[in-house]
Amino acid sequence: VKLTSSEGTEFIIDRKVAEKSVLLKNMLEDVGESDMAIPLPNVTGPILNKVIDYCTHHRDDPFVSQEDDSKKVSDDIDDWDAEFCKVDQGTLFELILSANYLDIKPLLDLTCKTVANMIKGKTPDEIRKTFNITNDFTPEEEEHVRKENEWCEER
Amino acid sequence: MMENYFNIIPLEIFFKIIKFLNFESGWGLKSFALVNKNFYEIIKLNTLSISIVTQKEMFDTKFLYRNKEELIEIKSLFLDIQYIILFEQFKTFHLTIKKFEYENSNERKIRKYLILKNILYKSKIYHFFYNNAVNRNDYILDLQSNKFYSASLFLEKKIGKFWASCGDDDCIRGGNGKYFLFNQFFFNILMEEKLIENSNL
Repeated sequence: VKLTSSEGTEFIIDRKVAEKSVLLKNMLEDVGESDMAIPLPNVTGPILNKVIDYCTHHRDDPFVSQEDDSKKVSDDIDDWDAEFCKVDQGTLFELILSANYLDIKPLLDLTCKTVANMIKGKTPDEIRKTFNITNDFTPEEEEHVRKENEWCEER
Repeated sequence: MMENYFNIIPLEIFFKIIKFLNFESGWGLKSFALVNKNFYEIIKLNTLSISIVTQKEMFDTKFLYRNKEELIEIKSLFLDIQYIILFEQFKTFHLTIKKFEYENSNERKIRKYLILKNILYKSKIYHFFYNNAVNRNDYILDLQSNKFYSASLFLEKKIGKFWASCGDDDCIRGGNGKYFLFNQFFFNILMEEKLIENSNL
């Protein structure tokens, strides 16, 4: 299967690998056998390369249904996946967007879990620093929000 | 300068990340919401706030005008509440607090707090806490076994830490137990009618 990234870089991959993406699987089923490259205008070459790495490594994994939300924990990441996600934030979020676009649920879960793990245990200020988020609450507004649910603060 | 990548992800991804954060308390989510106004507004606006007060009143009425034939209906109501809480109130796992005034059986106006917990989605059975503000000696119903436990024994051991005070009034903080807490009045009714058994914990 031929894929073309947003810059026009061509990638040739096994059909089984491509079919880890529900989007591509459906397209391949609709189109049938074809030499035409599938354009992926929302995915850059380097990100597509990473996505292909992921799908190749997990090519034999069982299909995960969209409804299977039973595993809602973020600490069940295996070593290979953890290593795979050791990328800069830009790449990580691009992977999230690509996994979402290509409809690769396990990759989307993995990348979202990785972001969740970067947030866990951090104070709002630490989260802001980690993700370069500007605090646009005035001190008065922040105090007001805190007061709203003050009772539920851990004591 | 590094970009704030939260600005480029769709809302459903934002909530997917929140789900994986698996907050153990309302404060966890609140703390997360305090990162900036955008986070706060998204979390707040996507929290469905249904009228749990109406549910509670319906529940009370069912008990007050109960008869044995209504047992199934009562169970059905439990389930209704369960689904409402799990799939409506906690769709976005935000802690919601309801405070309301209510006439109890002694026609004495008491203040009640109904506090629903953001972690309920974790369990297939529901957790719902309801008590009046004056009596901590209430009972808990385990919906799986339909057994009642004495709150004074069980609560302190298992979910006691979720008790808290709100100003001068007692209130109940949600926990990750699997219990429905309500007052002794209803407990006695159910006991008399042998609709429940006491586990004598």
